[in-house]
Amino acid sequence: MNQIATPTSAVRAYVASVRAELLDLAPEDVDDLIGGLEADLTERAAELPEGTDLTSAFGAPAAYAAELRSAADLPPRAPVTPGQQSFLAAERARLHDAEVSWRARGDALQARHTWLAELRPVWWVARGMILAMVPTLVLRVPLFGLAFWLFALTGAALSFWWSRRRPAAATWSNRLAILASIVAAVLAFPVALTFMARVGWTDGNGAVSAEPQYYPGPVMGSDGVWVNGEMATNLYAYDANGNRLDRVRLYNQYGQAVAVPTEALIPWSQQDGTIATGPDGQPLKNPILMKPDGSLDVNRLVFPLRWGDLTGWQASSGGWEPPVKISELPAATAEPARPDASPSPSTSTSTGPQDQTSPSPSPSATS
Amino acid sequence: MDATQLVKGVLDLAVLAVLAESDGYGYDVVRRLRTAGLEEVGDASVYGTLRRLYAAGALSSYVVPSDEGPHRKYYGINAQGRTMLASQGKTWTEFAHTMESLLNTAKVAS
Repeated sequence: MNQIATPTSAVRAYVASVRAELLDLAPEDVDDLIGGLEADLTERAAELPEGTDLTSAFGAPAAYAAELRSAADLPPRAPVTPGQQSFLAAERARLHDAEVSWRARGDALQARHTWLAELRPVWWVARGMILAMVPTLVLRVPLFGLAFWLFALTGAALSFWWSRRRPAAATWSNRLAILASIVAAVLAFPVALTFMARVGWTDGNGAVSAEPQYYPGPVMGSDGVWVNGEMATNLYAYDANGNRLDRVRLYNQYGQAVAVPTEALIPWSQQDGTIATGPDGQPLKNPILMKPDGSLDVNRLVFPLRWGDLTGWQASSGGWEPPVKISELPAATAEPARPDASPSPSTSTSTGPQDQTSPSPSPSATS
Repeated sequence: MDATQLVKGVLDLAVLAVLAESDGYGYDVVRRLRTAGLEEVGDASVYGTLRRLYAAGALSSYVVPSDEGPHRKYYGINAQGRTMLASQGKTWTEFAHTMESLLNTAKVAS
């Protein structure tokens, strides 16, 4: 493998200008004429006294291009008026000018800050990882798992290898690398945000939970049930027919039991043994008593929760008083009426009048 | 007489002769031509000639990637190119002899 110096921005700009003079030719003819020209001119320019203007050394790009055409037996450039120039050719020329301008700016920046060039491999790796994160996040690959690292490292390696080859300017692979860099730069921020959000969703083993776990508010470390942003302090179960389900135990998709955390029940108890007050400022009717070992005297896994004098279906201070029966679901979604069947291991308990269909609180609805 | 015009007429032959020694990339061919004495040869004329000879099937071409800079495009002479070189070389030699004897007759100092 031979060593060829990196073309200066002046050489790149000159070659780009020559190419612009050849754009009326077939692309393969242009590539034939321009292929290798950057390397040739880089070597040629290195022999010139420093600071020599390339146009004064090689002639105007238009004349250089005309000489190339003539020697290659290609027709001289047809005069093109803006009206004759196709939209595609105009766009191609505009893109080309923009590319030349950006490359020149990049070269100038690198000339001023040489350390930028040393950081390029770091960006190549970062670019690959950012782009690899997109399928990882879209496919919900578990973070920090085998597939995750496979994606990330393959992306980084491919990106590094691609740019390490350093193809000649204005080749399709070079342009692809530039496009990848732009896409990666644009995606970096949203990918980082999504990534951080997903890290927050994972459990300790790195597996992604089905839903994001929102910040639980003032009750830290609790595992309770949240409804409308507020932690439930009790749960009342009804079957599809609107009948009460008593002594129900609930589980989530991982087989974890649903419990009302101790923290959520603290307001109903008092560590010093005094009676807590409710939202109305009155002493609670049914304070939860604390056992000598500090735990609460309530089974937090069986719903409705019951403690003290409460039998489970009585409202605690200021809470909703659950009716004996609530309205049935609409016929389209309701299960067929099977009074003897219950989705819960507990038996369905109905103690009130069966004709009550309103969910409105009923003072007699206790069990 | 402008040597540039003369060079143009025999550039194909000169390029084929250089590549018959060994393969070369664009500027390498230019440099070898100039070292041989064809100092008037223009870079772009040589590059264009290389492309034309390649398109005519007289040359093969391959790209040599570089670790650092842009790739180099090498050209090499093939069988058709060698036939062309032999044929054009013969024409040139006969022409040169004709011109030489013509000039000798006119007693032009060489």
